[in-house]
Amino acid sequence: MKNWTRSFPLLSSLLILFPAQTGNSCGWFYDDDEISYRPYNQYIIDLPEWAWFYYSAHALDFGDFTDTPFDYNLYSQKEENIRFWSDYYQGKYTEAFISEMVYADPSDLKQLWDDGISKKKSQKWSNPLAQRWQKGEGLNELKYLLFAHEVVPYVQELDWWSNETQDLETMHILQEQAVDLEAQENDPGIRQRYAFQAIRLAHYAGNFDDCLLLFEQLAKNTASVNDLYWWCLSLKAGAHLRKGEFASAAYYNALVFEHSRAKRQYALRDFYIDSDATWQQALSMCRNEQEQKTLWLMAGYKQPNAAPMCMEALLQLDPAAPELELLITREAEQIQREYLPERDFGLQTDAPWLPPATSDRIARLQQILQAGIASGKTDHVAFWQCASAFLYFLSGDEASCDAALAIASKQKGNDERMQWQITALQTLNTLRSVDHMDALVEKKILPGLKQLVKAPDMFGYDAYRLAMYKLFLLNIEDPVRAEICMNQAKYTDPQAIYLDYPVDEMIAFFRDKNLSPMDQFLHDVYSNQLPDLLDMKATVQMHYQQWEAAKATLQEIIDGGGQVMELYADPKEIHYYDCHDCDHMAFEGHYDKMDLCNDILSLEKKVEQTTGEEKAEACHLLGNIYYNISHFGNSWMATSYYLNTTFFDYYSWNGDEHIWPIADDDPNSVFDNTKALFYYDQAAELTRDREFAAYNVFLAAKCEQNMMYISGAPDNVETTLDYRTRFDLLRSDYKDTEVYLDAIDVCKYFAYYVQNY
Amino acid sequence: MHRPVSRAFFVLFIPIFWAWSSCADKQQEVIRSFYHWQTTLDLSTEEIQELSSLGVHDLYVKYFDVIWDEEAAQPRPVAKLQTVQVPDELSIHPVIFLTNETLEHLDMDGVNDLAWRMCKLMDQIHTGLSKDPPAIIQIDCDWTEGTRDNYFQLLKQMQTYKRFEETIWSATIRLHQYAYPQQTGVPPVDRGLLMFYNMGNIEDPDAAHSIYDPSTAEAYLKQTDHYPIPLDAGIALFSWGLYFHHRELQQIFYPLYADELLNESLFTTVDDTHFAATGEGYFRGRFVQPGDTIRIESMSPELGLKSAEQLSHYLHDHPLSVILYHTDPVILQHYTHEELDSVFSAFE
Repeated sequence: MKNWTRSFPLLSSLLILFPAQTGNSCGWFYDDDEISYRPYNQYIIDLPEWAWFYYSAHALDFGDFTDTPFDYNLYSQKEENIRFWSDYYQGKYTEAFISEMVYADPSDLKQLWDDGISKKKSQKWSNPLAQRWQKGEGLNELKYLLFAHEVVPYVQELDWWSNETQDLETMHILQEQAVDLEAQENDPGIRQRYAFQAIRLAHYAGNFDDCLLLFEQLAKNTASVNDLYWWCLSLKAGAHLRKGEFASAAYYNALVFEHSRAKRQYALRDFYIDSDATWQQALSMCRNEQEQKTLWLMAGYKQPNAAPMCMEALLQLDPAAPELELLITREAEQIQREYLPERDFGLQTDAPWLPPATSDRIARLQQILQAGIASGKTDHVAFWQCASAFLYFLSGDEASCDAALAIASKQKGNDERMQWQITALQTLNTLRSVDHMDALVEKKILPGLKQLVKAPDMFGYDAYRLAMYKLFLLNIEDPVRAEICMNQAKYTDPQAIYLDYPVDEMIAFFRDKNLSPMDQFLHDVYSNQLPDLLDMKATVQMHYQQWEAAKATLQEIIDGGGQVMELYADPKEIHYYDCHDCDHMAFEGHYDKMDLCNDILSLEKKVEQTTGEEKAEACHLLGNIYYNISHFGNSWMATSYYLNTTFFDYYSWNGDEHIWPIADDDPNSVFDNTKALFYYDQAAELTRDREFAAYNVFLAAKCEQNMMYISGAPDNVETTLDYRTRFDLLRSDYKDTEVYLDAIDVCKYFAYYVQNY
Repeated sequence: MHRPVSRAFFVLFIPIFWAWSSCADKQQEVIRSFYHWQTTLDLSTEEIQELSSLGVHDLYVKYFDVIWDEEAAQPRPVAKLQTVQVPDELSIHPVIFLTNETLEHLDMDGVNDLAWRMCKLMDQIHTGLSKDPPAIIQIDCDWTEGTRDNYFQLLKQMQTYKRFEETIWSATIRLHQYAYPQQTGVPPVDRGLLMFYNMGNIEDPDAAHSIYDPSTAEAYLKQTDHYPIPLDAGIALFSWGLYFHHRELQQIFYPLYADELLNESLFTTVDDTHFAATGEGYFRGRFVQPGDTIRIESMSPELGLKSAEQLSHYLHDHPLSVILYHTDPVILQHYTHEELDSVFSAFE
């Protein structure tokens, strides 16, 4: 086949950033922030108002935050607007009451307006704010809200698929109205709101000069009136950006970022520095150190390349700045994504636990950390030491890592998160250079592992799993310990590999009463315990039809006080067509794996010892059981743990070549129906009851059809006819039976066969 | 001193020369055209005059892009054309760029719905530019095997739009699609536009020239004797800078020419096309660090002409539209009238 080399598409918008990071998606796969082990935890810092900004991919893509424990409402524009109103009312009304009225239907507000003017109550309101307006008090607020509702349609996004443009004329009229109303209003809070609407309308109409002018005239001096000022400033920043005045835009966006959480991500999105000159100009606009710190934070946040420079600048300004801690934790967190293995590492037994980690990026961050620590002015010493220890750990400098952690331990106070981070790093650092397991090593690492396994997911999860990955590599030659460590590192499912599972060794390990402390730990954390392992052993034995052995194994579960696994239906039951769910729902009795073993053994005995109808009946029941414990039957879970979905690929085939999905001639396959077919044939042959014989022939035909599915043969008429011998027998020898008619009625395959062949 | 030409020369060589020249001089009917890829259609008088003097009467104007909006989980038009001035001298042919990702998300109903929406929006925009329906519409999409069915259905569905029934439909064809029509399929349209650029791996920091490489181009061109639908030619004139950090492509600076970097203190010249950052700072909105590199890939007049000459040997459909990418003033500054004329002439 020729190589099909794809050229890179010419992007329509060639100025866009290349997608260095894909968007965060909520799906079955890990997103960018989750793909690798992350023993360094961002939540080591306590800056909940910036939690959104811990992750680059999340924040920049406005993604989903379901996996992060922070309060969405912190960033809600609606919530912030309610807070502004609450400040305006000086807490006189609850936020719930305010929200109800500010976001009320305009028709309700109009009615309240009419009520207020006429001082009549057309409707009874329980909301005290509405009651106030009905009394004719504060009608200027209501008038404003009605005006704001008028404005909203003009400042909303237009229909994407329409070429209609904004109604600039109406927007201009509204803008002028807002200016007039602002001038007529005496209440500073409401005046500011009209100013906001005027600036907003100018901005959305694309009149950026007007927008800036209106800000200067109406809003510039309203910072002390209400925090709505920052929303006005956000519009001003946007106008500067649209005009290509990047320094002003960056500076004002920094102010908005600092003061308005709801506008924070938009301020960051619009933060753009095109050149060094712009950057210097933006810095020169700062009136105080805090403004500079915010600018440095945003610059470092927006482009990771710039983060080291920004951290250095922040260090000079204020080693205790929380902005600096945020950039440090982000940088350390991003470094670990670069160097630590992916969570889904498979079975890469020949790869080192951790790849070599030396880079300018690590060295530069370590330098910043050391300078900060040396300054003695950092706010959270333990945080700095932990970050430093993490970098030492990555670089393989175990002694320095230990030393940093020792200081962190002393300085951490009662900070639980810091303690988890220290424990995680101590454990991993101890494992760093371990190349074999012995009692001394076990003693050193066990306390940490015991703690980490109990840690809240956020704080110990990845460190624990990463440690277990190392233990897996150290125990690679030992099937039992390797299995347990892998299970813990990757959360594997032993039942998924039950046929290849070292079940006897595992059982021996779980029965050993003299386990070392480390082995006892592995024993305790493993996802399966002795009864599960015995069940797995019995399932393997049943898979290979070793019924006596399986029975003995199941008895061990009972003897140990456990319960044998129940099946969802009685496998002796059979129907014309298969419907597992129907059988499961209809089944009300108790039938477990032990019952199955007993039934098979007794029926097989009966087949050996009886003749005639009695033997025919036993054969029929054995046919049912063997059919039902295969993939196709209602008790498939007797011999396997998962229904094999490969089979269903058949139904989604594409392309011209069409073959049955599974080529499987293994007599122990879950798909095999040979034994069921044998017993149905026997039953049909032995009985003198023509209906019963016909029924068994039909059931044998079902087995034949299943065997066709697993034949791996092409799906064509010739193949199909090779597997229709029992259909043919049913038609030629049992045409006079009720079963024949029922089969035509129930089975479309048979009806088609009878009609066409 | 000149030797007189012998009679034998006329007897022996003139017929051969005539036979050769009659083949070489066979005039190809070429429709000289340009792409307009900016979001504002506002050509200056000088630009219009320049196009006119080049014999360009057809402008392929991008009306909008269609992308997949993750948040809304639906297709979305972006970069819609804003028209300030419509030059009367030019026939406007709408072009829509559609991301392959959009097609990945749609089922057949979604495809049909998108086709209708695209036509309707295109119709609205076009009505503002011209009272007549468009003579030609071009759809630009780098479809893959996985999206082929959706894309081809979209094209079929768009062609049922009532006002565009008389329109000639064109679709862009990338070189790999030209070379392997059996695998990639042939779009169900009247004509194809062979994009004779962007043929290399843009993400490879060691690649020489991803826009146009004669040997890569030749390898593709030789794969196919005859493409199933008539083809027009798309020739690139632009120049860009590929910015690499730790050898990973981070951004495309477009347009970018080497002379800008020669005057940029942040960069030092490695060779004619490679520049390395020597310090930290902002360049065109990007913070660069020492060790970062920019590779300039420029379709110089010489290279533009070379690509036109190479492609001209393979396209023999009449009439043949030759569309140059694109009417960006910055790009056109780097070409003289004669150089642009020679690119068109290569096909004539």
